[in-house]
Amino acid sequence: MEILHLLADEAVQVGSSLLGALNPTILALIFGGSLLGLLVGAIPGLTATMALALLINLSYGMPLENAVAFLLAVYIGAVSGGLNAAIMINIPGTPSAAATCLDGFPLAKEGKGGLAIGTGLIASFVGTIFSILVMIFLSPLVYKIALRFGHWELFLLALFGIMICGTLSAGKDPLKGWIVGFLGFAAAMVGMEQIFAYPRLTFNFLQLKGGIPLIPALIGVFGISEFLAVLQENVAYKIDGKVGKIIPPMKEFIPLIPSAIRSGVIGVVIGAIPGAGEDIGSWLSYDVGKRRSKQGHKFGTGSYEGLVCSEVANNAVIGGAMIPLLTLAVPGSPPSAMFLAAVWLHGVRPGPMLNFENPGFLPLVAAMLILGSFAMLFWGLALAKPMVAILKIKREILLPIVIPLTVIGAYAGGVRIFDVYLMLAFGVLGYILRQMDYPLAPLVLGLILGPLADTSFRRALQQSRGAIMPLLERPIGLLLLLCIAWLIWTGIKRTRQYYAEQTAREDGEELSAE
Amino acid sequence: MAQKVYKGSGADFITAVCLVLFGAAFSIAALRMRVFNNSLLVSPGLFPLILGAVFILLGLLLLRSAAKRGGWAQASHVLGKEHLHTFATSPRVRKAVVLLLFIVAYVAAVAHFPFLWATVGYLLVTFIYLKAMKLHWILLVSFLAAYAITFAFRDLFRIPMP
Repeated sequence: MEILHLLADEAVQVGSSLLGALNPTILALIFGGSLLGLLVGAIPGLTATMALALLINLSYGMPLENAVAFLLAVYIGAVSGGLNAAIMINIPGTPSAAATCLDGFPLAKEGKGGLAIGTGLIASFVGTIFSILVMIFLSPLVYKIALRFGHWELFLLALFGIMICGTLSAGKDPLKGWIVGFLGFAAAMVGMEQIFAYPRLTFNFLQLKGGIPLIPALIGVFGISEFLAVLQENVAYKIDGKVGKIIPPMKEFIPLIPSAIRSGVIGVVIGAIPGAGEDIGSWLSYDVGKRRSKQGHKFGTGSYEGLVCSEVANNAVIGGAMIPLLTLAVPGSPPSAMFLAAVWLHGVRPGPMLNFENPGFLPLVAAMLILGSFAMLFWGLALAKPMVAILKIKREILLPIVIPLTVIGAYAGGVRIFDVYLMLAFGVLGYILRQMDYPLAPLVLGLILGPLADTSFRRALQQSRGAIMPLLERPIGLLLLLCIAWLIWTGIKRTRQYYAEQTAREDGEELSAE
Repeated sequence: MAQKVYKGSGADFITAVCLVLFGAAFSIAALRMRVFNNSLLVSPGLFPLILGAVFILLGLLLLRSAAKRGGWAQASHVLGKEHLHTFATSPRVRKAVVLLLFIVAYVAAVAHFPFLWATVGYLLVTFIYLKAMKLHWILLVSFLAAYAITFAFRDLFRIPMP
């Protein structure tokens, strides 16, 4: 009964936030943000994280409601915008649309590019709305559990976050993901620690006493490194298919409903896993869809079902990622990490206490996500044809314009040129890691969760006078500990298997060459 | 008989050695962080010390895997004069380095010159290097883009500019 009351309360609050948001300023910001997000997402090489990194500085001077509305609209727009390039030129606008290429491009070659874009946009809308509903109903329950978290649980949650993020984002070699995650932890150790205010690893730089600021680091890792990595490749592309009709007939959608629901669930679950992100959700959903569907053999040849699997899931990650972000302050995806950094700047501290400190924040986020989804669908369908024209602009023209925006973004938060230097340093680090096939998401998550892990660990030890045994009496802590142990065990096994397969493959290639 | 060398093993070997050295340095720095005569349990250096040990452990795991795949031989080859020369002169690397240098110069310029003119200069040079379009278009787009960005952020949204 108590849970039903909670849910009813939540629904009423979302409703009143929605009504409150229906004012010209917020609507203009939502529609403007959504349009900008779609444009950035449509340009190959610019991701949703990059979109938020570039546009976050516009939100600095806005009141909280306006900033949330604008940034969430950008987020939804950018994740959805990636499908235009994926369908029309076979290059995903964002990594989350990579699986969309497999069916979208064959459809475009058949002259059904417009229908594919329309289907993808509607699937994106359905995925976002589904995930928002799950977020509204699940978050109060997670809050209740999160309130029972002590120092041990918080430490283990932070550790679990980077371990699972490393495991999922590194693909077949989890060891690399963990290394990057712990590098993020190490970077988070810079600055004054939270118990004694003791300055650590500052190398006498006064500017480092406050720690490494999150926004310049994020902009560097995702913005600068992406710019360098994309522009060093010469990828020529041309638009093959015609756009044609955009809105698909309603009857086409009915057989796709089961796939859409399954993909929505997959997207939300992947979104709720710390740092996993939209691309993993999309690929996993596509893979499961291909194996589960009766029409699985048609996947990859221009199947609307394949397109729906990918697009519903990548957008469902958005709401899923908001669940750990709002309840535990653990971002579920790199763009949501950017959103977390932005709301921190506005004085909101997501986490177990958010419901007491800012009771209206979760309904506000839900309301803005709902409005953002409508704005995305509106612009996406209205601008499907002009968007294809934008894809014809060379990347060599669009990408350099991004750099001044990254400089403003890094500078404006702290109004220090030192932050721009930090952004540059993180950009180079991100570029090197990218070139060596190391994932970047664990680095960011480590940077966010590092202070939580450090402080919680020392406070837990202090509380138990150095004993680790009290941890075994705490069910949630024990569960997290078992999950971490399982991740390490399976991760090492997977890494070994990957290298064994790689060496066997190379041996085979050599033999066949002989 | 010489050990067989596999792709990526050299890079992994070098990374692993760097990781072990980084972990050791991190641990040493952490050991110097004890303050207020507090016990090690709450010392600011405790977590960094553990992190240092984790880096050494991860480095050793990577080292073992890389060594099994002929990492030492591959690393010697990768760090050899001939390979380094090929690497440094490859068009991909050169392009990334040049673009990065442009950004470094731009950041330095932004700290000393008005944002608008530093941005015009950066866009101009980058567009010319990338052969993005014809020269008259480069001039026009560089100026218009720099002006639009400055106007939108400084005047419209009142964002602090470098």
